Amino acid sequence: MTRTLARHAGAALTLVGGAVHLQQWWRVFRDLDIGPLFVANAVISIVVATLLLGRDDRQTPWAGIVLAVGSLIALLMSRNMGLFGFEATGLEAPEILAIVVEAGAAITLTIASLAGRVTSINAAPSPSP
Amino acid sequence: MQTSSPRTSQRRLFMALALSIALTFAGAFVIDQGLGTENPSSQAGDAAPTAAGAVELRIVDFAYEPAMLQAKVGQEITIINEDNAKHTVTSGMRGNTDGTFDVVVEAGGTATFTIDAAGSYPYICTIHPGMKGTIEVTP
Repeated sequence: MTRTLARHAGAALTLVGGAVHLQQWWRVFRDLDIGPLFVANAVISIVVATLLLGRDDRQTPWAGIVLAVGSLIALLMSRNMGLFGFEATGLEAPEILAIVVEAGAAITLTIASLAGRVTSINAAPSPSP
Repeated sequence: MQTSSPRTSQRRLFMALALSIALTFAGAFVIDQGLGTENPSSQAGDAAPTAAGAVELRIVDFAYEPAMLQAKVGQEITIINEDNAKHTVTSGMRGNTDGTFDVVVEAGGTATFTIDAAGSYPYICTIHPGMKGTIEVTP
Protein backbone atom coordinates (compact mmCIF):
# COMPACT_ATOMS: atom_id res chain seq x y z
CA MET A 1 0.00 0.00 0.00
CA THR A 2 2.74 2.43 1.05
CA ARG A 3 4.83 1.40 -1.92
CA THR A 4 2.00 1.90 -4.40
CA LEU A 5 1.11 5.27 -2.91
CA ALA A 6 4.74 6.36 -2.97
CA ARG A 7 5.16 5.17 -6.59
CA HIS A 8 2.10 7.11 -7.71
CA ALA A 9 3.12 10.23 -5.78
CA GLY A 10 6.63 9.91 -7.24
CA ALA A 11 5.14 9.56 -10.73
CA ALA A 12 3.03 12.69 -10.25
CA LEU A 13 5.99 14.71 -8.98
CA THR A 14 8.19 13.42 -11.81
CA LEU A 15 5.55 14.53 -14.32
CA VAL A 16 5.39 18.00 -12.77
CA GLY A 17 9.18 18.21 -13.05
CA GLY A 18 8.95 17.20 -16.70
CA ALA A 19 6.21 19.77 -17.27
CA VAL A 20 8.39 22.52 -15.79
CA HIS A 21 11.24 21.53 -18.11
CA LEU A 22 8.90 21.46 -21.12
CA GLN A 23 7.53 24.91 -20.26
CA GLN A 24 11.00 26.33 -19.69
CA TRP A 25 12.23 24.90 -23.00
CA TRP A 26 9.32 26.48 -24.84
CA ARG A 27 9.46 29.84 -23.07
CA VAL A 28 13.19 30.33 -22.46
CA PHE A 29 15.68 27.75 -23.69
CA ARG A 30 14.58 26.55 -27.11
CA ASP A 31 17.11 28.79 -28.87
CA LEU A 32 20.00 27.96 -26.56
CA ASP A 33 22.52 25.14 -26.85
CA ILE A 34 21.24 23.49 -23.69
CA GLY A 35 17.64 23.55 -24.96
CA PRO A 36 17.62 19.87 -26.02
CA LEU A 37 18.47 18.86 -22.45
CA PHE A 38 15.15 20.33 -21.32
CA VAL A 39 13.26 18.31 -23.93
CA ALA A 40 15.22 15.22 -22.94
CA ASN A 41 14.27 15.76 -19.31
CA ALA A 42 10.58 16.04 -20.22
CA VAL A 43 10.69 12.88 -22.37
CA ILE A 44 12.58 10.86 -19.73
CA SER A 45 10.12 12.09 -17.10
CA ILE A 46 7.21 10.79 -19.18
CA VAL A 47 8.93 7.41 -19.64
CA VAL A 48 9.77 7.08 -15.94
CA ALA A 49 6.27 8.14 -14.84
CA THR A 50 4.71 5.70 -17.32
CA LEU A 51 6.74 2.82 -15.90
CA LEU A 52 6.00 3.91 -12.33
CA LEU A 53 2.27 3.93 -13.05
CA GLY A 54 2.12 0.95 -15.40
CA ARG A 55 4.48 -1.56 -13.80
CA ASP A 56 5.49 -2.66 -10.33
CA ASP A 57 9.19 -3.31 -10.58
CA ARG A 58 12.14 -2.38 -8.40
CA GLN A 59 14.25 -0.60 -10.99
CA THR A 60 11.98 2.25 -12.07
CA PRO A 61 11.92 4.08 -8.70
CA TRP A 62 15.71 4.17 -8.83
CA ALA A 63 15.58 5.56 -12.36
CA GLY A 64 13.24 8.27 -11.06
CA ILE A 65 15.60 9.05 -8.17
CA VAL A 66 18.54 9.36 -10.58
CA LEU A 67 16.49 11.65 -12.83
CA ALA A 68 15.37 13.89 -9.94
CA VAL A 69 18.79 14.14 -8.31
CA GLY A 70 20.48 14.63 -11.69
CA SER A 71 18.08 17.47 -12.50
CA LEU A 72 18.77 19.13 -9.16
CA ILE A 73 22.53 18.83 -9.67
CA ALA A 74 22.22 20.31 -13.18
CA LEU A 75 20.23 23.26 -11.80
CA LEU A 76 22.82 23.86 -9.08
CA MET A 77 25.63 23.66 -11.64
CA SER A 78 23.93 26.23 -13.87
CA ARG A 79 23.84 28.61 -10.88
CA ASN A 80 27.44 28.07 -9.77
CA MET A 81 29.95 26.75 -12.27
CA GLY A 82 27.95 26.77 -15.48
CA LEU A 83 26.41 23.94 -17.49
CA PHE A 84 27.56 23.44 -21.09
CA GLY A 85 28.41 27.13 -21.33
CA PHE A 86 25.17 28.28 -19.73
CA GLU A 87 25.22 30.16 -16.45
CA ALA A 88 22.38 31.98 -14.71
CA THR A 89 21.86 33.78 -11.44
CA GLY A 90 18.97 33.81 -9.00
CA LEU A 91 15.91 31.63 -8.75
CA GLU A 92 12.47 32.42 -10.12
CA ALA A 93 9.17 30.63 -9.64
CA PRO A 94 9.71 27.85 -12.24
CA GLU A 95 13.13 26.97 -10.81
CA ILE A 96 11.77 26.95 -7.25
CA LEU A 97 8.88 24.71 -8.34
CA ALA A 98 11.36 22.36 -10.06
CA ILE A 99 13.50 22.13 -6.92
CA VAL A 100 10.47 21.35 -4.74
CA VAL A 101 8.99 18.66 -7.01
CA GLU A 102 12.34 17.02 -7.81
CA ALA A 103 13.28 16.85 -4.14
CA GLY A 104 9.80 15.48 -3.43
CA ALA A 105 10.14 12.90 -6.20
CA ALA A 106 13.51 11.76 -4.87
CA ILE A 107 12.09 11.36 -1.35
CA THR A 108 8.86 9.56 -2.33
CA LEU A 109 10.64 7.24 -4.74
CA THR A 110 13.22 6.40 -2.08
CA ILE A 111 10.29 5.49 0.18
CA ALA A 112 8.83 3.38 -2.65
CA SER A 113 12.15 1.55 -3.05
CA LEU A 114 12.61 0.96 0.65
CA ALA A 115 8.97 -0.10 1.13
CA GLY A 116 9.41 -2.61 -1.67
CA ARG A 117 12.51 -4.01 -0.02
CA VAL A 118 10.81 -4.32 3.38
CA THR A 119 7.82 -6.03 1.77
CA SER A 120 10.15 -8.48 0.03
CA ILE A 121 11.99 -9.30 3.25
CA ASN A 122 8.72 -9.81 5.14
CA ALA A 123 7.31 -11.95 2.36
CA ALA A 124 10.35 -14.22 2.17
CA PRO A 125 9.53 -17.73 3.42
CA SER A 126 11.01 -18.51 6.79
CA PRO A 127 13.50 -21.39 6.81
CA SER A 128 11.92 -24.67 7.79
CA PRO A 129 13.16 -26.17 11.04
CA MET B 1 -0.98 -13.25 -6.00
CA GLN B 2 -2.85 -12.48 -9.14
CA THR B 3 -0.71 -12.08 -12.28
CA SER B 4 -1.92 -10.00 -15.17
CA SER B 5 -1.78 -11.26 -18.73
CA PRO B 6 0.69 -9.67 -21.18
CA ARG B 7 -2.22 -8.02 -22.98
CA THR B 8 -3.50 -6.47 -19.74
CA SER B 9 -0.01 -5.26 -18.86
CA GLN B 10 0.39 -3.68 -22.30
CA ARG B 11 -2.94 -1.95 -22.01
CA ARG B 12 -2.02 -0.65 -18.54
CA LEU B 13 1.30 0.67 -19.83
CA PHE B 14 -0.39 2.31 -22.80
CA MET B 15 -2.91 4.00 -20.52
CA ALA B 16 -0.11 5.16 -18.23
CA LEU B 17 1.82 6.55 -21.20
CA ALA B 18 -1.20 8.43 -22.52
CA LEU B 19 -1.91 9.81 -19.06
CA SER B 20 1.72 10.85 -18.56
CA ILE B 21 1.92 12.66 -21.88
CA ALA B 22 -1.40 14.43 -21.32
CA LEU B 23 -0.48 15.49 -17.78
CA THR B 24 2.96 16.73 -18.83
CA PHE B 25 1.60 18.96 -21.59
CA ALA B 26 -1.32 20.14 -19.47
CA GLY B 27 1.07 20.86 -16.61
CA ALA B 28 3.42 22.81 -18.88
CA PHE B 29 0.49 24.91 -20.06
CA VAL B 30 -0.74 25.60 -16.53
CA ILE B 31 2.79 26.49 -15.38
CA ASP B 32 3.23 28.78 -18.36
CA GLN B 33 0.03 30.60 -17.52
CA GLY B 34 0.74 30.77 -13.82
CA LEU B 35 4.49 31.01 -13.42
CA GLY B 36 5.80 31.79 -16.87
CA THR B 37 8.19 34.63 -17.56
CA GLU B 38 6.26 37.86 -17.58
CA ASN B 39 6.38 39.94 -20.69
CA PRO B 40 8.13 43.08 -19.53
CA SER B 41 6.70 46.41 -20.55
CA SER B 42 8.60 48.29 -23.18
CA GLN B 43 9.92 51.75 -22.69
CA ALA B 44 11.13 51.94 -26.27
CA GLY B 45 10.22 55.19 -27.87
CA ASP B 46 10.10 57.09 -24.57
CA ALA B 47 13.67 58.26 -24.93
CA ALA B 48 14.55 61.90 -24.43
CA PRO B 49 16.03 63.88 -27.33
CA THR B 50 19.52 62.77 -28.16
CA ALA B 51 22.15 64.70 -26.26
CA ALA B 52 25.00 63.29 -28.32
CA GLY B 53 25.43 60.65 -31.04
CA ALA B 54 23.71 57.40 -30.20
CA VAL B 55 25.65 54.39 -29.01
CA GLU B 56 24.75 50.93 -30.22
CA LEU B 57 24.14 47.83 -28.15
CA ARG B 58 23.92 44.78 -30.40
CA ILE B 59 22.40 41.45 -29.52
CA VAL B 60 24.03 38.63 -31.44
CA ASP B 61 23.69 34.90 -30.73
CA PHE B 62 22.07 35.50 -27.36
CA ALA B 63 24.82 37.82 -26.13
CA TYR B 64 25.12 41.57 -25.73
CA GLU B 65 27.89 43.28 -27.70
CA PRO B 66 29.66 45.00 -26.12
CA ALA B 67 28.97 43.43 -22.78
CA MET B 68 30.33 46.62 -21.17
CA LEU B 69 28.81 49.64 -22.92
CA GLN B 70 29.94 53.22 -22.28
CA ALA B 71 27.38 56.02 -22.62
CA LYS B 72 26.84 59.61 -21.49
CA VAL B 73 23.92 60.82 -19.38
CA GLY B 74 20.96 61.40 -21.71
CA GLN B 75 22.74 59.83 -24.66
CA GLU B 76 20.53 57.69 -26.85
CA ILE B 77 21.29 53.98 -26.61
CA THR B 78 20.11 52.04 -29.64
CA ILE B 79 19.57 48.32 -29.19
CA ILE B 80 19.85 46.27 -32.37
CA ASN B 81 18.55 42.73 -32.01
CA GLU B 82 20.12 40.54 -34.69
CA ASP B 83 18.70 37.32 -33.25
CA ASN B 84 15.58 35.47 -34.31
CA ALA B 85 14.23 35.73 -30.77
CA LYS B 86 12.76 38.50 -28.67
CA HIS B 87 15.04 39.90 -25.96
CA THR B 88 14.88 42.47 -23.21
CA VAL B 89 17.42 44.90 -21.78
CA THR B 90 16.29 45.13 -18.17
CA SER B 91 18.24 46.91 -15.43
CA GLY B 92 19.19 44.94 -12.35
CA MET B 93 20.05 41.36 -11.63
CA ARG B 94 18.05 38.25 -12.35
CA GLY B 95 15.36 37.97 -9.71
CA ASN B 96 16.06 41.54 -8.58
CA THR B 97 15.33 43.96 -11.41
CA ASP B 98 15.28 47.61 -10.32
CA GLY B 99 13.01 49.27 -12.90
CA THR B 100 15.51 51.90 -14.09
CA PHE B 101 15.03 50.68 -17.66
CA ASP B 102 13.19 47.76 -19.18
CA VAL B 103 13.24 47.61 -22.96
CA VAL B 104 11.81 44.84 -25.14
CA VAL B 105 13.36 44.30 -28.56
CA GLU B 106 11.51 42.08 -30.98
CA ALA B 107 13.40 39.58 -33.15
CA GLY B 108 15.31 41.52 -35.80
CA GLY B 109 14.08 44.80 -34.33
CA THR B 110 15.58 47.89 -32.77
CA ALA B 111 14.69 50.04 -29.78
CA THR B 112 16.14 53.12 -28.13
CA PHE B 113 16.29 54.45 -24.61
CA THR B 114 18.28 56.84 -22.45
CA ILE B 115 19.60 56.84 -18.91
CA ASP B 116 19.32 60.09 -17.00
CA ALA B 117 21.80 59.56 -14.18
CA ALA B 118 25.46 58.62 -14.10
CA GLY B 119 26.40 55.24 -12.69
CA SER B 120 27.03 51.62 -13.45
CA TYR B 121 23.93 49.73 -14.55
CA PRO B 122 24.02 45.94 -14.72
CA TYR B 123 21.28 44.54 -16.89
CA ILE B 124 19.87 41.21 -18.01
CA CYS B 125 17.50 39.67 -20.52
CA THR B 126 14.49 38.53 -18.50
CA ILE B 127 13.61 35.98 -21.18
CA HIS B 128 17.03 34.33 -21.56
CA PRO B 129 18.76 33.92 -18.20
CA GLY B 130 22.30 33.59 -19.55
CA MET B 131 22.34 37.08 -21.06
CA LYS B 132 23.78 39.92 -19.01
CA GLY B 133 25.87 43.05 -19.40
CA THR B 134 26.65 46.43 -17.91
CA ILE B 135 26.17 50.02 -19.07
CA GLU B 136 28.59 52.56 -17.64
CA VAL B 137 26.99 56.03 -17.76
CA THR B 138 29.22 59.06 -17.23
CA PRO B 139 28.25 62.76 -16.87
